Amino acid sequence: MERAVMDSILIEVVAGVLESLAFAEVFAANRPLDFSHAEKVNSVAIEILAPFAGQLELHMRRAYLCEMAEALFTEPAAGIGREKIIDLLAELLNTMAGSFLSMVLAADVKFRLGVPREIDWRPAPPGDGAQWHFRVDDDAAASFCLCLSPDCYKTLRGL
Amino acid sequence: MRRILVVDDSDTARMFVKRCLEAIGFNEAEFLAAANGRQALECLRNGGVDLLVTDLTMPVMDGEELLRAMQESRRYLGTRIIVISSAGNMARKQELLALGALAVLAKPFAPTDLYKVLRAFIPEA
Repeated sequence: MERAVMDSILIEVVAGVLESLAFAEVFAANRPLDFSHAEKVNSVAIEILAPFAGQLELHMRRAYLCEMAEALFTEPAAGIGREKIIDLLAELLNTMAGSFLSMVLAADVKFRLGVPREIDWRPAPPGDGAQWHFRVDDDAAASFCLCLSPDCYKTLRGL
Repeated sequence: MRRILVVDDSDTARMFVKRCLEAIGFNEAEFLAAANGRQALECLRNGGVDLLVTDLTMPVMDGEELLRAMQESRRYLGTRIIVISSAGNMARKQELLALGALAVLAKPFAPTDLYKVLRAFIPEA
């Protein structure tokens, strides 16, 4: 699979998920997510268990995540609690991962995902992994970033 | 459709399903929640669940195991089941339908998608 094809599938998937869950319009960002302040970013990962091994990660600016949580749970972020906010991020990634695999794998190929979990922010995936940065609505800076692990990226490029 | 059991380990997903169901006219239903298949079976044993909406990937007991348990016990034959999952590819869909699901809906979905499924498979809903 060519990188450009993967890019367009990922953008379609991410835009669909954010529109459905958060009514947000998503675009590819020109500037990468600023991770210089790791404490301002929340991160989750999900394992691909079959038909190949790999991992997807979602890193999101906490300010935007809280904004989304407030809109979804219809209460101030302070009252929602950290666990629910991370749960929202995990659900976003879970939905993106399933939707992405449904689109890149043949219809008769079964796939299995693990349970999403919170991780610490890493500045870049090691090796030949890939990152996609997205901005929401009219924000100039990227609001979140989706990463594919090197093994997963390599497998998909070979499809 | 008076009692609806929503099974998902994610609070966000359960809340989203409930909001969708309320948006399409189930605002007077009683919603029950379970975080995994085992909790769902406990709710089902108490009886009176008309519709079960379940995710697939969950810790402790996943959605497929829940469907198998329900099929084996035969106590829950009248319970209508909708599977909602991010892993909604067609290969898995056929297995889930064979296990008793009326429909398999892939995430992300809109309230109208859920409405269409319920109208198609549960006309009286």
